[in-house]
Amino acid sequence: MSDDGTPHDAAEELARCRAEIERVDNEIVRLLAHRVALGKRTGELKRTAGMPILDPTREAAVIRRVANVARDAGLPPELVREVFWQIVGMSRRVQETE
Amino acid sequence: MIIVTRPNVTDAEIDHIRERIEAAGMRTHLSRGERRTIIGCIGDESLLQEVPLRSLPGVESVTPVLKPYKLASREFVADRTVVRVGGRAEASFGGPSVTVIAGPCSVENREMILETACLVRDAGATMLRGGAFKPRTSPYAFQGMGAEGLRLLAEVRGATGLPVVTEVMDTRQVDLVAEHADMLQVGARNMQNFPLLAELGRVRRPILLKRGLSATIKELLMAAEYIMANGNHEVVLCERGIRTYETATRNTLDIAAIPVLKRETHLPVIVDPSHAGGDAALVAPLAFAAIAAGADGLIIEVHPDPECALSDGDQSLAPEAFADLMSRLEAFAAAAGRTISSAHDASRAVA
Repeated sequence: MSDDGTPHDAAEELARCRAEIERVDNEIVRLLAHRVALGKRTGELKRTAGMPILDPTREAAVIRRVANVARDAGLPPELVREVFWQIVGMSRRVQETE
Repeated sequence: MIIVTRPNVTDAEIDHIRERIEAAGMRTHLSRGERRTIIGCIGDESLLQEVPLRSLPGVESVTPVLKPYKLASREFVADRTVVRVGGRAEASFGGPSVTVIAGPCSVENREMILETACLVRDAGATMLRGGAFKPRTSPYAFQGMGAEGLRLLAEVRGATGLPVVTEVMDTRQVDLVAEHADMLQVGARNMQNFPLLAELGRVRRPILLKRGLSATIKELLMAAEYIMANGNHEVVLCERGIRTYETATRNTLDIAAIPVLKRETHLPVIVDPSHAGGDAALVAPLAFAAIAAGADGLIIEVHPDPECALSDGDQSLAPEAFADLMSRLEAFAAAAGRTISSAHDASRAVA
């Protein structure tokens, strides 16, 4: 924020924040792609070992862990849990379709 | 299945309980109330047979939910749900005050919707209704302004500060309507349009779910469950009259549905006295009865000139009649231990 906080400076600050949000979003998508790739590899390893793709115990542990990380980071754990159920689901679907 | 935790339960204990349930292949829903915390289990309960839930640290009691609706059932959450509407929560349903939504059956043109919005706001309504997509019994009747109507509603919301509720009829319209409206309405005729309900579970807008003309209370709650099971827990139920053998009124307002729903679910319940009676002269008495029976809000049709309305003119109130109704409503709300929410409350809630 600028020293005098004039509307013009606020608009500039808003534009900068939005650009930064875009950069973060791109990074999130890049990390999701990386996570999906790891999930694929895990799927291959499970298949070779004759293990089932669906592993609720592992999924529950993943969710519990990230909820804890979220809590420590000052984020609402319920919302982070929701996001991670989606991510875990995406990873599972990719493993199943391989 | 619901798990009530001990009063001094820790986050770590809650995490552990949820992990055990989720490891069995179910999902959990956490509800923290003022006095107790409830963990709801969602999915096939036979999966939990092997889990010693009662002996897990922090668990006080484990009870099965015998009703077919789980997420919507009263037992599933600790306190009643308050649904907040609008970017700055300008309106809410389920709190201590009663919220009145008013506006025309359909958006007819820019002047008309703006004029009605100002009139109902000045009379004390805190939300605007207006149809853009209209489900009409006859294919030859006025079908609504469509996307242009949505744009006008959003414009009027900007000008008056009233959050807007409008009907969505088709899965293909969900994103478009969600972009323009603060709350999405499922009409009585679509109450069991399951693909539409599932789609509405995925949007981040509160839903106003109207009871079908011939739907039982259980069917209404199962329709709410559909939306909630797909991820959207912000559902307000609306009793709008049911079909009976009586022909003197368009529908029969099921007053008993209000206390029954309040017993069965934590979701807010509002009443549409306009469609229930189908007659402007019945709107005020039905509205008073609804508030006396414990309704959390009303949705009322108001038209600046009911005689010239393109749809539902017979049941629309003229502005003066609406203002009169609003001035008399306060006494009924007070008798039921409630107040009528005002724009002032909303701005205080934001501050």
